[in-house]
Amino acid sequence: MDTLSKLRILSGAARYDAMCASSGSRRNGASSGTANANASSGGICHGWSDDGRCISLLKILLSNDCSYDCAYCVKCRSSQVERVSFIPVEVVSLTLDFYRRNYIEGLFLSSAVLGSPYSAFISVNDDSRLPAQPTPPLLREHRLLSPPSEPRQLVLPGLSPMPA
Amino acid sequence: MNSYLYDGTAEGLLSAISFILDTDAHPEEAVLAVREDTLFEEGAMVPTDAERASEFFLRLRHDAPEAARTLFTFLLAEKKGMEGSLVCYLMLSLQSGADVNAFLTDPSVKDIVATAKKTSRELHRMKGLLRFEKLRDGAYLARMEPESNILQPLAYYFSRRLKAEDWFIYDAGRRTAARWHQRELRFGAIEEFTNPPHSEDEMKVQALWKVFFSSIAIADRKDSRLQKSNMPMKYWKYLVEKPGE
Repeated sequence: MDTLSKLRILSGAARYDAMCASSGSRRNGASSGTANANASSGGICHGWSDDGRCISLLKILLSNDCSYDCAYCVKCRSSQVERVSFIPVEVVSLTLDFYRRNYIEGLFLSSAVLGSPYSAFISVNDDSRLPAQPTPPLLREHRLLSPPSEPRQLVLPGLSPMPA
Repeated sequence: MNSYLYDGTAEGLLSAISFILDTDAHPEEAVLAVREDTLFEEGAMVPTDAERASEFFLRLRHDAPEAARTLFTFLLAEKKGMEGSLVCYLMLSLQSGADVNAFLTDPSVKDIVATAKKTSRELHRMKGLLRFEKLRDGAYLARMEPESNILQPLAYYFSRRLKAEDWFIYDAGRRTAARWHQRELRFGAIEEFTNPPHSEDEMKVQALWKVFFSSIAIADRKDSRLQKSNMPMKYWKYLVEKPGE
């Protein structure tokens, strides 16, 4: 499936928690490199969607292919929705292409649980599939690139147990 | 009540105000206007003196830094016919120092502060709403038609944000442009503007952005009034997601 169709599904899946805030983050632009952000600490809105909410960050899911079966979630395993996943290089080039055109302040990436919480981190951290480009600002900031030191199974209240 | 004229430039304006505040016994009643080419001139022409203007601005920045910032933003608005208010505002600034912007019951302070605020709001909006397009040679171009002359502060902002790219910002209304090339920022006027060709992937990226823009919105909660109040339609012309609307 091409990036465009994936983006349609995976941004649509994130629309209910599209958050507006880019405020409060402070970072100085690196002297070289691509996404050398200099965030305005007051936050910047880059547009307002048709429902009137501010768009500041590229809000997408890495994947909606979830192995949990939470009763409250539209993306749960037993739900009949189309399943897609970005590969990391697609997320990176989307973010950088949008950032350079001043569409967004940065990336806010969430994901369904692909297999286990740990394996979702692995897929983001798979450098071999990334082009030789610096890390997009928000990815680095939220430390999504450093996986937990050892695989740990997270059991949160309200989540159904993971399949074996 | 004395009448004065100046040449219409920012330097001329500051020279005239400095002259009025120094020599006129009742500056608050002075009438100051741009000199027009008419047969009968009403008022004394105050010659433009760049040194006097910059001396005046430095004094203001020292005595009332907030007023100096407000003056700078006010001048970007390029509003004509508010010279009288500006004379009173600057006189008050030099008398009362730092707190002048708090005297909002004074009509001149209210006028100047409100106009400056409108300009800084537009500057902040354009930091988000400016859209760059990638050109065939790899540089980026953004076009805009703002009400205030915000090109200069906007370009300084993007020289920090898009440090590693080459880009142009073009103000189509004023035919002025800023260029960031090899870490150097330059400003200039453009006689005739022709749209340069896009890079190969530009339309693809724009299509991706349009898809994101439409699918991030919740259709059941469509609210175009709220959308327009946050993002006035005068800015839609150059928006990728709302072209030509």
